[in-house]
Amino acid sequence: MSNFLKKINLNLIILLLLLSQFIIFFFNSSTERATFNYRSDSLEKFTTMILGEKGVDVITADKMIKIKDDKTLLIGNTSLKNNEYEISSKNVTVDSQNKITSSSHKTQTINDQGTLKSEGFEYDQNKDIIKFKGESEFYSNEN
Amino acid sequence: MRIKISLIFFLLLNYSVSFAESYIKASNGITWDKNNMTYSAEGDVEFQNDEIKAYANKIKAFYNIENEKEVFEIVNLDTDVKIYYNDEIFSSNSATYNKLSSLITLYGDVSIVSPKRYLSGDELIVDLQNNTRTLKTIEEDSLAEAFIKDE
Repeated sequence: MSNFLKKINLNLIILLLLLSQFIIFFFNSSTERATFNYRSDSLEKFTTMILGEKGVDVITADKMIKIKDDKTLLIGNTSLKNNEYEISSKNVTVDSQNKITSSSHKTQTINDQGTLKSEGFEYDQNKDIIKFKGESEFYSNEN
Repeated sequence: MRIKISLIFFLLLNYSVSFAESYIKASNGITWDKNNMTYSAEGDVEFQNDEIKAYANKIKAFYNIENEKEVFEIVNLDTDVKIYYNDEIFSSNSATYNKLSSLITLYGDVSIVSPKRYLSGDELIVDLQNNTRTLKTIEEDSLAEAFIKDE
């Protein structure tokens, strides 16, 4: 048995295992966060902070277009972040009259419980319910 | 030499921990209700945690936060339910999985399939902790089954 083990290069096995675990860690990291650009000197790189009932909401987008008084389009990569979750998507519509924020583009949501990926979302601020549309998967940090 | 072998075992153990995940997958969307602490999923839904793997057309999972991590405590499954537990497959119209009490209760057109048996009835209670199965059939005597572990 010991002769057999001597033949195996244990250092190489350990190195390979460590390397593969580093790869798994970096590709599956659930604590990944999007990078924010806080340049808010133009509508091209839009950032706003809203003080709500549950803390501060930070909204960033590549471009902001106000269609009506109560309807805003956030064009390009958009992020909605507060102390409970962060939703990252594209081309988000904000309906401030009905308090509904939505997108029909691929969405990733990271909260304290895990990561949820979907084909879109609709956040009803009145009910505090987020509907993730289409093919969706939620991976929990339970284990 | 022993240290190196121990390190290899530790790293291999770490793999199993890395891949043991809880998840919900749904073809027709997932709804997160923060106030009621639930996730509801529709379509072809798949649920997995460290105990079971389940399929249904609708799932509502109630969670709680323990040590800053979410734990799915109760999962209600509806329509075309299939639950996989070790080498057993439980099928029914609806079911409730309670992680806290280690119970799975299945209702309507219930069946148990395993390599050595097939049983069917109207209601099935699976006690994961005590390893018992209680199958009820309307207007007939109930069948209770207990698995005895060699220890």
